[in-house]
Amino acid sequence: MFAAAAAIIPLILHLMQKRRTVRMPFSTLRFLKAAQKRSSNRIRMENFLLWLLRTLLMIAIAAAFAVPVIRTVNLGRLMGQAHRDVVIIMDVSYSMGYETGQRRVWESTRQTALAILRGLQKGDRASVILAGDRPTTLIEKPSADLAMVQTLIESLAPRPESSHLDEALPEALNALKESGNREREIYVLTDGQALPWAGFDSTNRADHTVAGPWDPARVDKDIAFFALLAGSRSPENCRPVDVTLSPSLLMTNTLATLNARIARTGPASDLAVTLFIDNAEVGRRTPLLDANGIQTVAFPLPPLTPGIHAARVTTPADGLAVDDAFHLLIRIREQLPTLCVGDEQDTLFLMTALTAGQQGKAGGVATLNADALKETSLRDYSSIFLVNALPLAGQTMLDLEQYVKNGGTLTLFPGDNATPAAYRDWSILPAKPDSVTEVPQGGRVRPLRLLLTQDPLFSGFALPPGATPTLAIRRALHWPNLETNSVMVIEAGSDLPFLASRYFGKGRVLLCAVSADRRWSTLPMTSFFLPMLHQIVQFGAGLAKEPLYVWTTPTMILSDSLPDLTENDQILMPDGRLLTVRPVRQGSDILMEAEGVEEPGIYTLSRNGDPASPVLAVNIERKESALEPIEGSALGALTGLPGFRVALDGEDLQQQINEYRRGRPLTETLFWLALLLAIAEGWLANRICRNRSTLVATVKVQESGRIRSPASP
Amino acid sequence: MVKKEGIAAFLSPQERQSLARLTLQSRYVVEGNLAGRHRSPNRGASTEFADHRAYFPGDDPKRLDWKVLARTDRYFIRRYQDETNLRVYLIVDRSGSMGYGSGNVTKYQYACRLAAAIGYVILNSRDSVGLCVYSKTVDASLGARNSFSHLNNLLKTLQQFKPESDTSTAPALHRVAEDVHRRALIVLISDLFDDPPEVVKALAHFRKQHHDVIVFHTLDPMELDLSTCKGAEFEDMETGETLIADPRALADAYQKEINDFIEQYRQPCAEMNIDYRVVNTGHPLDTFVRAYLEERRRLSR
Repeated sequence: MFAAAAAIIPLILHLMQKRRTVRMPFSTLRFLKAAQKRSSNRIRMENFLLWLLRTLLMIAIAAAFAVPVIRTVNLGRLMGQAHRDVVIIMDVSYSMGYETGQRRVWESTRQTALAILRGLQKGDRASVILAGDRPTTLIEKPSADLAMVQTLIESLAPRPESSHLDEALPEALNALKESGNREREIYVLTDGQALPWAGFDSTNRADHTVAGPWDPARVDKDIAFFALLAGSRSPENCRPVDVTLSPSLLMTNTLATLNARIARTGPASDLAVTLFIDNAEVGRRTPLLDANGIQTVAFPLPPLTPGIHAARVTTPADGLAVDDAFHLLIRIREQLPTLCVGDEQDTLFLMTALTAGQQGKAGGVATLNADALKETSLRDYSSIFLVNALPLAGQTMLDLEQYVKNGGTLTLFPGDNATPAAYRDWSILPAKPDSVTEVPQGGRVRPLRLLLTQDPLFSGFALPPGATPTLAIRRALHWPNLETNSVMVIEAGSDLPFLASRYFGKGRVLLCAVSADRRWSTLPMTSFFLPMLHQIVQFGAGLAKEPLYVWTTPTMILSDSLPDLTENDQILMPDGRLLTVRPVRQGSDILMEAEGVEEPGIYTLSRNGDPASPVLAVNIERKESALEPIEGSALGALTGLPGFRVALDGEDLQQQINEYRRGRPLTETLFWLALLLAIAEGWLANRICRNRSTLVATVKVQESGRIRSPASP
Repeated sequence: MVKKEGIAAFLSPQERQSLARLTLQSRYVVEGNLAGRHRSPNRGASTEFADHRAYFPGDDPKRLDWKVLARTDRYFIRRYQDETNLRVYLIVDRSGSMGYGSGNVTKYQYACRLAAAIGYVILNSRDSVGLCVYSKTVDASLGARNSFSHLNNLLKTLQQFKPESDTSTAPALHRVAEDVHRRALIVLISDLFDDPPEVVKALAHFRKQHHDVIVFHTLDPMELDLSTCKGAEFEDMETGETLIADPRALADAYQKEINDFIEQYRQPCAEMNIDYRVVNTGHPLDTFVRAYLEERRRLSR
């Protein structure tokens, strides 16, 4: 700042100029004196302004070379000399894997995190929190072992998860609670998509927020917040977001269609969507996808052999490759294993209906007495019908309860063998019948009303237009009310219950009010009987226990979809690694739980040296795929932290960090100021010395010396 | 190298040749002693008819208008406008301020050359030219004659003087006005850095005596505009007084002052029908003289 003394240069020059004045003879001074008298005030003011501008110019230049800084916050602190605690929140959602050309979001984010660490001094401490579906605190309290933190960051990779920064930020605040008088900084390194920030908006807050509602008022004002929005500002991404099969239950030779929903982020475009089954391309469509739109693409399935087929729907490779393929398992069944429990006489109509069209063959339908039920493996059947089979042994009831809990469909038809008391002790029933009602002669004919037409039980069920199934009921079970999670599916008339349903575990229990023979009603004789049974069988075969695909998850109970899985079985991940599967106790049950089902693709089961068969299709949930950039200027209002410093790349962030820690360099500002002052000085000086019109021109002196003034001719 | 004297010192042969065909007309009647091309207040012999008057015995019978006599039987004499030569007095200021020149030529040198050009034109018209040089007082006064040797003498006299001392224009002009009795053309060549009201009074003196007056207000370009020099300590060439000033800052105000000063002469001169001209010494002399004489001749018709 010694150079600021240059400010007196204009004054010195002014004084030296006076001493070096040149003497010049002039014809007369009378006009000069008069002119000086006339304009002395103006000249004095102009000279003062010139002196002022030149002095300020010299000061600005000298100050610019001195590289001064202004501490943007905390002027009272000693210019960043205090030790600091920093928490780095790293967005590990899979959208961080976005890459286009030279832009690799994850790599640049990681390098930025390492650069932040390198910028710390000895004695500074750092902590790292991963923002995923749940925040993961890698280092609970800031650690002074920066090398360890660096190693930790270098080993990180994006996960197949979404991120919730509204949960990670409170974790970071917790980590800084015991920082005392240290300077505290929180860095949020993310790709700049809107979704991770959506939780800060109270209207979008996720229900599973563990850290409680975000309250910016509780944030210490001394904490500095930085955000790196490293992602593309105009991302493009195309991905399959969901697939369905129609019909959902596929038998051999079933004509089926696979519907894939394709979503597009970016401008409208036509992209090839391909369906592979067993690694062979079986279909390709090129739909025109609207800008940021979603469209369903249908693929007719070719004839497939019975068994499980691994399939995937793919879109062309783009910046976010991880969501370009959607995996699923297509299960083709040869038959629907169904068990009818009851006497031959009781199950006559039922068996006739279930084996209709099979030329007298039983197909997958088996029948046995209630006594033999305890020796039968229930898991081999997708549907079980109990026809006048109550009362049952206690163990048998427990087995059936477990069967339903695991996803089985149990349908009960009453009969004369059981009294209402036999039903009351069974907790899985949708209702507890209290009596058997004898319907009066005049009120026996009843129309059946489907109360839940949208129930999955009736998926694909269609009666002829205008047809109303009607039956005559002589006797029926009566129950006063329904149990929890139970619904009335069909009513006979307006006051008589006919079919009640209850979801229990992963399965469903159906209780019919009349028997499956002609003794209680004319149900077996109606045209409604056969389709109703087929709907129940199909529903039971396809009920949720064998999904087309599952989402990636840190842990998954495999016993649901693979009930016969043992510890000796090996499940291979798509990349060939062995999936960690271990038994866990859940209540009284021992279940097989897989850890780290986070690799999208087809998981295969290898058992006793047999060829591996696909057992799971795992996909990443597509929440993060809708890449919608958030504006940096919106973060302040969104988080309630107006001082949020936002950068779009690592260099910018580093500059902001430097400005925060050391202050904002004023060199550039001062040079701009000097330039403005120089321009002002030049303008003013030029205004003083500008070329004026001469008097000869002003008064119009002609060549002959005549003055052509307005008064002259 | 031989030092040039007289007209050769002020006008080159080319300039003299270009001036040879020009004339300086008086706008009023003048009183000369020779026949010439200028109107005289007297009646005399010329081709230009003036009027008739009744014949008186003693008149020359050859001047009788016989045609009138034949028609009216009355005797009338035809009278004609007398024409005489022009006497021009050049009054040149040689005060100290006339020694200023921002270029190669001082105002005094320019005034001498202007006087030489005017004198040359006058002699070419067979008119007479006289000279008066003044500063604080009348330094030299030469009568009007119509010979080139006389012009040479006048110019040698001008050559001998150097611009110096104070100005006292009005007394000098009054003295000249008293000395010149017969109607003549007075040509004043000066920067007029004096008290304008007094000078105007002196000019009015000339007009009162029916002289035709031309004022060549001789000014240097720097004096007119003050726009091309840097800041300096200015020294008054007449009084020796000094003043530190930055002409760039003063130019506007200075031009207003000098304009007011010129207007103090232009306005009274216009009222007195005096031919007032501003002479910029930065312009070529022959161009100015020719332009001026052409315009004067045109306006005299």
